Amino acid sequence: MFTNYFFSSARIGIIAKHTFTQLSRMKVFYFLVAFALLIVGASFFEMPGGRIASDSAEQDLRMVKSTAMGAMSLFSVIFAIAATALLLPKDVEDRTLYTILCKPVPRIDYLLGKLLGVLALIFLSIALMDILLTGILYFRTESIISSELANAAAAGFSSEQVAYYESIIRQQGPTWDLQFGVLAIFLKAAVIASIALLVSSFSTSTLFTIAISVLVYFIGHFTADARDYWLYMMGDDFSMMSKWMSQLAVLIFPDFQLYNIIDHSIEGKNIPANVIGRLSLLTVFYCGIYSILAWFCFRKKEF
Amino acid sequence: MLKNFIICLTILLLFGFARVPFEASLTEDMREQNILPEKVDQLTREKLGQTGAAVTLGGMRSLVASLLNLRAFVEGEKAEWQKLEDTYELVTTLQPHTIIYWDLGGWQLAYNAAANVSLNAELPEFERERQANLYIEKGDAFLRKGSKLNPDDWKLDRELARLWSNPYKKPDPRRAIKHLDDAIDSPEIIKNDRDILRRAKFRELAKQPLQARAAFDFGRELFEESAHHRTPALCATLFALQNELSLNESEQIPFAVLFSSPVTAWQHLSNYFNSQVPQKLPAAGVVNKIRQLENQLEIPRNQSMINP
Repeated sequence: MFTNYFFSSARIGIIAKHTFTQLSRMKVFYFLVAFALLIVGASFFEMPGGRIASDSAEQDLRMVKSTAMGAMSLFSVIFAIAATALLLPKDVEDRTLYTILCKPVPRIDYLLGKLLGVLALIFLSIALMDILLTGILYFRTESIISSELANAAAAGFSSEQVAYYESIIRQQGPTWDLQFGVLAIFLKAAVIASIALLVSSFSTSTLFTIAISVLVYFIGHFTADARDYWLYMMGDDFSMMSKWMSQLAVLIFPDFQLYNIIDHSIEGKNIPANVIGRLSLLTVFYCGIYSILAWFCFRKKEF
Repeated sequence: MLKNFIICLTILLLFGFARVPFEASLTEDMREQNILPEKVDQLTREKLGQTGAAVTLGGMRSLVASLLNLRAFVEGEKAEWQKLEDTYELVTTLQPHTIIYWDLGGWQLAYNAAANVSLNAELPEFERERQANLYIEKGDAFLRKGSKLNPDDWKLDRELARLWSNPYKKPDPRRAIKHLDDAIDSPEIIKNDRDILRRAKFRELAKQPLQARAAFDFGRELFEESAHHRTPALCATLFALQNELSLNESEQIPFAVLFSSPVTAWQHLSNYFNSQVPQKLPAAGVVNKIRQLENQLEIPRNQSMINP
């Protein structure tokens, strides 16, 4: 195990594990029951028909996916912000922070352990939701395909047509591209959790941490627009002040628009592996830099 | 505290400068591949309301679009056509590359709305007709907008062709053929569907008297290409076109090749006369041939399938 004065993977692992246990005890997983009910309800919901049966089938599958992915996205953001915001104040309140830090546990280990514990819980929750979604989607898709194939055979469709319509329906079912969409949800949550940790490292109030993190989350969805404004808008109509402000916004705030590939994955369209790779790399950098800044703010904080 | 703040800000700004080119490049790649959703403009945000707009930021555009689609169906049930049109504008703004929403919106406007207003007894006849035509044009405009945003997809072109070849709407063979050609030329279409659309194009050509020769040549090409194309309607239409063009025997497709037997010929030509001729398909020589076959097959007049 990599161990030195500044960094110990074993210590980080232990703190992460305890953080995970601590958060699990807050009955977070009960949310999964609500999620399961929601998605099972969505799977039984039949959209009003289009002119042909496959219209309805496509809409039904899309409804299941968009409900599930929307719930996953919402849960992961709320949990990433709220759970991370609670961690440090709770340890201060319980006095466990003093015990840990005087071990001595380097503060960077402590912060990384906390962050990894939160991320582990978010990952596990999303994974469980994803398993449920994939299972329901698989059975629903197979049921739709078998009824559509029976109709196609009765209507005398050629084998090429049958194969084509089957591929259209399967595209709306569980695919690897849908999993990439789920991964993007987790990556986004990881960045938000890192931001919440950074704010928490200098904040004295949980509510303040949550409010600032939510604000950064929303601003982050407009960073792409600010970047376009900064990089591409030219001419006298655009004041220097507004360009500088947009530049500042781009440099400080993360770009959450990049993680909005959910719609594309719900469509069943291809998401290239290099896009996911680059998003993952960007996430590592975001989490890394926010963690370092969190340590910087936390390193000499008095309790 | 201030010192810490300045250091943190400096590090953030430096990190920002490092990541901006990476993010700009990634954003451009994702936009080129239509992976990133289109920006939600101010007008759409206003129509969605604050809650809807906030939800779309969270990556739930697909869910919002699904729910709005549901709302549109309810509006259709209540015959609130203007609201339905606005709702589908919203839905397709949120999900511009989801073909089914364009398809459903176009269908609701061009078919359901147009039919509903044409039956509105509260309006005078001329107004009913005007409003019905208006909704057909709205449906057409909606589908064309979807087709333009999704140039690789052929299904919207097919729906446009269906709209303009529908005998109960405002049939316009030239518009139908234009859309059929767009669909046929799509790289995404499979052979079977392409063949169906080519036969549809043949029908639309045959409806235009001035295109009779072009229709015959195209129909002959299909006939000789594959037995798969030799549908009863195609064979009957070719027969009528041959008569209309007064082709000499060397150019004609022999009757015995068009129809496998006199009974088959009588059935197919009778069905053609009853169902296709009212839709402006050519009828030259059809009735005479049917009567000739009835005499040959000794079919009593009261069992004739036609009543010209």
